[in-house]
Amino acid sequence: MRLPPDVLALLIKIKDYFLIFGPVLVAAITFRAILLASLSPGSSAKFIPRKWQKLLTLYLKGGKVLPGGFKSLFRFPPVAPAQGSSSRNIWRRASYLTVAPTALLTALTLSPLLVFTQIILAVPLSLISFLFPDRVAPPELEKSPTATKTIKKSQAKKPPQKWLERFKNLWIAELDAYSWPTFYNFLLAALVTIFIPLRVIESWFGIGHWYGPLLIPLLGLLLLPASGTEMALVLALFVKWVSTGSGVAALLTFPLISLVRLVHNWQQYGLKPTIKLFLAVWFLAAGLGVLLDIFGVEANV
Amino acid sequence: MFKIINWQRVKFIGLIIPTLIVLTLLLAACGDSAKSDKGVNEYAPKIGYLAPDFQLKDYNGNLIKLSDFKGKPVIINFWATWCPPCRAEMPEIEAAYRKYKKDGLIVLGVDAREDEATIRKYVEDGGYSWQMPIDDGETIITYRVVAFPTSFFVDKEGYVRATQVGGMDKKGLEERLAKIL
Repeated sequence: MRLPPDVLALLIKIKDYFLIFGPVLVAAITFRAILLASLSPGSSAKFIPRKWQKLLTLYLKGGKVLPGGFKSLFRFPPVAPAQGSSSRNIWRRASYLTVAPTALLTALTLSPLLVFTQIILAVPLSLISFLFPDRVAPPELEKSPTATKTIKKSQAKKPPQKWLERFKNLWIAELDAYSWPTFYNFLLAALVTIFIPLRVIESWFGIGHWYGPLLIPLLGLLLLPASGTEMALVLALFVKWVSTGSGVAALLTFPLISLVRLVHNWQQYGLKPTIKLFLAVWFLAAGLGVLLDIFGVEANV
Repeated sequence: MFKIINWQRVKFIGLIIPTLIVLTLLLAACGDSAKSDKGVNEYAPKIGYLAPDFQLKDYNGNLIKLSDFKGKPVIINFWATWCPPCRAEMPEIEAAYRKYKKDGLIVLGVDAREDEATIRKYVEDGGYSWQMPIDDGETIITYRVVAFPTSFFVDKEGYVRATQVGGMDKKGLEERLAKIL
């Protein structure tokens, strides 16, 4: 059987994205595993997510709803009560996500200048986090019997003793959590690169279209959360000649306001903080993008 | 036995051999730089040589001659619509072309003997804006193209400065373009 050239081109593009982003992503996973194994030896049990099975069902089987309702499709591993799920955390986490490891990937694959725009967004987000009290919210997840079971299980399970064993478990769990979203995000980027003509992207998000930075975050809603892999779609959009403002808006919003991440935030922190974060990120990123376009700044990607 | 060895001779040889090696390496390095700076005044599809001239028609019937672009950096990209790596790298080439058009960059996408309608459809659907001459079979032989895509990076003086057999990503393209811009 011979595959059509477009399908093969798509696979080649996905391979290219793995070659471009793979080393940094593997380094980020390794670094995170080292950090977690060293700093929080008891927390290893909660880093074994199985969300890929649910996501696979949603995206490959036409969104067939699993028992437990639509919301259960995006059910993420519950937060341990000790870690807390206060409103401050949603902003704090967003500010971290903006800068790492996407900042490194931005510097390597796009332009070192664009890292400054990420810092420009991360600073107000972390400042906003101080407006909220740093208290542990009532454990909403305990309402669900399965969540309580998981927490109890994770608390009951003894952490592995040796550092190397903890590191290995964490690394494999991180890789497991990353693998499907990474492939999916790269596939999305490859689809944009191969199948969407440049003139289509340019007519919406190109130079001279002031609404480009406002609309481009909508493309990011389709992405799956895996910090850093969203950059493939940003790179694909820059290849398709989006304006600097639209590109920056994509760069800043894609890691933060994907549909799955929004539902995740909704489950962890509640609806209001999620909506506030969504609007703040959209407003700041799109505003910065519009300003860059007005002043004719070139990212030189 | 030790008395038989002439230590003075050994010292002399030990001094001479490293000196000769260093001198050889220096000469080789000088020779290489001279070649890469000036280039060889012969036509061959090889790095450091003058890019062989060709004259082809594009799918609109316009005549395209390589020597007409002397004074401008040129990418000669041999491709075909049935070739998956060609399709994968074309968006990157388009982005690079738009980026460096102001620096005079010319891209010639030499198609491998396909019919005009097929090329026109693919190029117009993809929105590729560089020139696409159609090869009659001779240019591919002249440039010794054995696989698609194959790219030649020709500088302003007409010398080939880089080549690539197979597809290129953004980084690979930028590295080679830096040699001709």
